[in-house]
Amino acid sequence: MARPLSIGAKLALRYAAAMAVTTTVFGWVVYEQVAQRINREAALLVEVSLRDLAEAYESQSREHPRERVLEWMEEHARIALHRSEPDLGLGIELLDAQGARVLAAGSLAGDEVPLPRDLLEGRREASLRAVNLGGRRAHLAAAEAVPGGFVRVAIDTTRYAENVESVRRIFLFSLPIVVVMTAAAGWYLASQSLKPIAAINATARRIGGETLRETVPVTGSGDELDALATTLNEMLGRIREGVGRMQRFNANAAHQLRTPLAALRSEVDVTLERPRTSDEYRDALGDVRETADRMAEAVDAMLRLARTEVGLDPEQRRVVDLTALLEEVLEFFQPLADERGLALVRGACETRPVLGEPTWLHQLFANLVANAVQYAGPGCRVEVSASPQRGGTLVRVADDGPGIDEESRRALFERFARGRGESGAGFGLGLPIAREIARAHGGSIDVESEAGSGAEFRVWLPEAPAAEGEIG
Amino acid sequence: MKILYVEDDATAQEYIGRGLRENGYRVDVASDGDAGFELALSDGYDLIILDVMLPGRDGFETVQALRRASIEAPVLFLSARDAVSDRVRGLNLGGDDYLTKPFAFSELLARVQALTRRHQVAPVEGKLRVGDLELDLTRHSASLGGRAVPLTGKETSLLEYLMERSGQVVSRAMIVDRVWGAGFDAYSNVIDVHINRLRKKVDPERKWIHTVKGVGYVFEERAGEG
Repeated sequence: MARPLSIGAKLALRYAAAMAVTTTVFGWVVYEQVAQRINREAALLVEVSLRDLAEAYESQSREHPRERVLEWMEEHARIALHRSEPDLGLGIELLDAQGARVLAAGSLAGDEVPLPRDLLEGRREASLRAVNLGGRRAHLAAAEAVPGGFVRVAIDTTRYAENVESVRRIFLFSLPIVVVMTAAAGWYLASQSLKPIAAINATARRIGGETLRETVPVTGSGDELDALATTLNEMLGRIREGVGRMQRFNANAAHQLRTPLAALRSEVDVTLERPRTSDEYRDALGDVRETADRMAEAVDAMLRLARTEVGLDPEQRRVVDLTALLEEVLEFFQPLADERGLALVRGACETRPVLGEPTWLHQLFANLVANAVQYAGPGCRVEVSASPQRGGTLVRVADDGPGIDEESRRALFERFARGRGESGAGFGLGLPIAREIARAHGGSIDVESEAGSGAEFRVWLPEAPAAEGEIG
Repeated sequence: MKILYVEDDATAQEYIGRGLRENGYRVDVASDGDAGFELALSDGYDLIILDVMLPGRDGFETVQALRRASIEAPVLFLSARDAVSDRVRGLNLGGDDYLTKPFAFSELLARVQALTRRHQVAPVEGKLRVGDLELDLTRHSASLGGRAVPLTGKETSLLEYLMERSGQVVSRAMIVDRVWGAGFDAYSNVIDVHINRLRKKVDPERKWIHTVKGVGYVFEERAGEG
């Protein structure tokens, strides 16, 4: 199979093709213009000569008898031929009313050339046309009716035709040169500007093979390729971050399971070490059950997170009324808030429909509200409100609790973060799950908080496309 | 009550089988889908508990084969996989419930009871009645010895669920799934608060709604607890 053309070669070929078309069109237009102008000049020359001759002939005819006029004509032709340049190829002819030659001189002195029929028949006063007077030269003849016959003048136009031809030749000759030169220049320019791509490619290959630490070289020229390099570097940064997060998650997950496993093991070991009463056995088994429950909860939370990270199954999506959904979440946690002595209230709620998975969206807001209820403490107020923003809905879960200091805030959405990230969803995964769910819906989540002045979690979710129909 | 329990993990088979027997069920066990299918054909069971990941014919294929063979016994799936799509698939293929491993034995028992017993109470003209407690499903109110108590929509659903399963233990997870939806299942402990609030409204003497420690609740008439 043929090797595919490089981008440089493709660009060069395209430049060349474009140049060929442009040059051809340009050359053709110029050639046409020049040819027309040259031909018009030749015509003008022959017409002016004819006009002069005809006028002189007519004034002679008015003043003198025919014999004198013919003598004058002969003399006139002789002088004119004598005066004119030889390569002008001047010819002068007088014809009678039937078109038969009366006298001829110069280039018209050879074989008789018949007058155009329409001139002879009186339908036209004058004619101008190319004629063949024998030999390889081209002539242009102009004829006009005069009293008692016709006068005709011819000139040799070979020179003019040669000029036109040479213009044509110049263009035909230069076209391939222009095309070849364009192709070469195009290839050179293209390969120059594509050089950074080779560098990016080489680095990307190295990074793929070995390390995530390297970055793609940025030349600083600020052009498109620099933008590409910057984008790739950002992508690499995110991959690095993701891999780092995953490694931390795995380590944390193992730790989360290893701790209760160790507890489980020692509970069983110690219990089996010596004979015990059945009450002791029962107590020990109760402890084992509790530990197992804790592990199960941890695994549940991790799986929930893993599922949300995979993304949303399009088949599970439908149009969801966020206001109703928030109501359900509030209603669910209301008794808990009452019991803990804090106010859980609904602020102004104006929402746009969301295309999403209701179960996941329940989970998202349940995690936020549970988190607020857990951390705000007695006497505080948790308010959930929503307003349309940026082609979607911004939901706020705000509390006036102790707030979050900057350090914890940064770790908030990290898996297994201590403190506030730990919500009822368990094991520090509540907020990371919330974030993954928001992302899976094409939305985002962030938090604003100062230590000592409450916290506000904000979730933005895009509006469902209008085509998705009614709220289901 | 006869239960067929198909499970390839020997430890689970032994303990869960024993647990079910100790709770008064007759239990046959099988270790793979084919053996389970043969047993199901040869004997009439009131419930089939199917592990999803079985050697040979898996749980999903087994339930399909059973339904094709016109065996209509309710099927409870047990699975370590809890993706929504797996759950939906299991229920679409003719399963009746889907329980994710690991689970508490009491949770399994509650679901087994729910699948093997008929509803104790069915609504008559939109009303459920047990003793002197009546729940009006359309007007969202309960009346207790003639005194009407207005309820919220969710309280109505919660009480309805408890009442129609009178005498059966229902787990917190079952309540969450049924009344609030799977999105809240991480917060099944909040159910206790809802139950307490409902008790204050309709069962101040603790006659009807009883806590089953470590599992959930049971609705049945007992002497008041205080």
